[in-house]
Amino acid sequence: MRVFWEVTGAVFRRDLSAEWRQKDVLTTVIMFGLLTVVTFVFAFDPARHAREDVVPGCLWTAYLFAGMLGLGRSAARDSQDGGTIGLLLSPADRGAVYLGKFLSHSLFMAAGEAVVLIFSVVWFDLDQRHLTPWFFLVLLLGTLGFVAVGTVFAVVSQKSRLREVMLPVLLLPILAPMVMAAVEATTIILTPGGNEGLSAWLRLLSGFDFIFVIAGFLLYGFVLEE
Amino acid sequence: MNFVLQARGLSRRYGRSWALKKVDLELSAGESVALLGANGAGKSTLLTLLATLHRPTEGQLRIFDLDPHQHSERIRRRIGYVAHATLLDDALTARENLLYYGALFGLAQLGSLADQALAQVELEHRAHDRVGGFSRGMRQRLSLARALLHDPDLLILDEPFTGLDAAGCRDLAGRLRQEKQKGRAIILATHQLERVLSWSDRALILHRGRKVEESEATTHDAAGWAVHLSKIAEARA
Repeated sequence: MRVFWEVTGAVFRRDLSAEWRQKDVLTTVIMFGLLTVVTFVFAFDPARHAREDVVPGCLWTAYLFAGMLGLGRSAARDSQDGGTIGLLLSPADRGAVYLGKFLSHSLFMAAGEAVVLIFSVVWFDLDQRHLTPWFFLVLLLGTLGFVAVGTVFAVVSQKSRLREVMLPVLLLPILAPMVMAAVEATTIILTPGGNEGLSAWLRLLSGFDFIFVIAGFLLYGFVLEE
Repeated sequence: MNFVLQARGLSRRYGRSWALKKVDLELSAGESVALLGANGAGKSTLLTLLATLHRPTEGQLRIFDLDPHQHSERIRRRIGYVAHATLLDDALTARENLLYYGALFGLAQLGSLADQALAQVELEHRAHDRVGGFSRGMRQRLSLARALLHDPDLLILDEPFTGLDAAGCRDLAGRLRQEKQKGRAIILATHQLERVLSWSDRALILHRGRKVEESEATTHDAAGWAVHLSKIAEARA
C-alpha cells in the first residue's frame, strides 16, 4: 500500500513540476475559457438577459471545452519523447497512476476555473448571493466528473491519428448526464427564490462521479496497455 | 541452462502485414546478442515484444521463465529498456526524472540511488538542470541511467548509439560491456556494428521479419558483417 501512494504522489508531483515550469495546461484552460466567456458576453448582453439564462451554459461550455483542450495538452506532454512507454515499462499500479493524474488534472482544472470564474463574476455582475457554497459544490462535483472521464479518454485519443478531434467525440456523449446535471443545478442556484429540485441534480452528479472515478481507476491500465 | 528469455515462433502482425515471423531466440544471464538487419527488418518489433510493450500475435515467449501475459509486473521489474526515444520528461531535471522513474518501480532509498546513477553516467554536475537543455548524448546517458536504476537483469536497447558522437558511442559501448561483465543479459539492435561486435556473444540477423541467421559475433569483423548483411539483402531481394 505504501508503494501505491508513493506512485500516486510521484505522478502528482511530476505533473505539478512540469506544469509549474511549462504552464501548458493552465494557459490553455484559462485562455480558451476566457475567450468563451467573452464570446457569450458579446452574444448575450448581460443587461438584457437574465443571469440564470446565460451564465450556467456559458460557464459549463467554457469549462468543458477549455478542459478538453487542457487534458489533450496534458496527455500530449505525457507521450512526448516516449513518456507513456516509460510508464508502461514500469510495474507501477495503473490505478495509482490514474489517481495521481486525476488529482493533478483536478487541480489544474480548479485553478483554471477559478480564473475564468473571477472574470465571469465581473462581466456577468454576479455577487455573493449567487456564489453560495451550493454553487461551489456543483462546480466541484462537475469538475471531478469531467476529470474522471477525461483522464481516461485523453489517453485513448492520444493513440488516435485524429487525436484533437477524437477527445470531444469520445468524451461528450459520456459526459452528457453530467453536463445536464451541472447546468441544471447551476441554473437553480442562480435563479432567485430557493433551491428547489437541486438535491436531485446533486445526487446525479455525485453518482456520476462515484461511478466514473471507480471505472477510471479500474480501466486506466487497460487503456494504457492496449 | 538458466535462460533469461526463450522465444519460439515469435510473430507479430500489424494489420495485414507481418512485422515479425516465427523468430526463435534464447538468451542466458551474462550473455549478449546483437540484432542486425536493415531498417524494417523487425528488430524494433522484436525488442518491444521482449520488453512486454506489445503482445506477440503468435508464438511462445517466456522471460525469466514467466509468461509475460500473466506476470508482466514481475518481469518489468527486471527489465531495463533504452529506446530511440529517451522516455525522459524535458520539463524535469535529470535527478527529478530518475526520482520519478524510481518511484514508479517502488525503489527504496531513491535519493542516493539517483545520485549514484547520475555519477555513473557522469551527469552529477547537471543533476539539477532540466533535461530539455541537454544534448543528445547527455540524454542518452541519462536514459541509460534510468534503464539501470532498478538494477535489471535484462537490458534491451534499440539503436542506443543513434545521434551520439564518436566519443559518446565509445563511452556507451564501454558502459554496456561493463554491464555485461556484471552478469546482465543484453540484447540490442544497432547499425553501428563496430561498437558492439567486440563484446557481443552472438549476432542475429533479421530480414523482412524473419530470422535468417544466428552465429558467433566473432565470425566476421564489422566490415565483414556489413558485407555479409548486404549479400543477404541482395540474395533475398
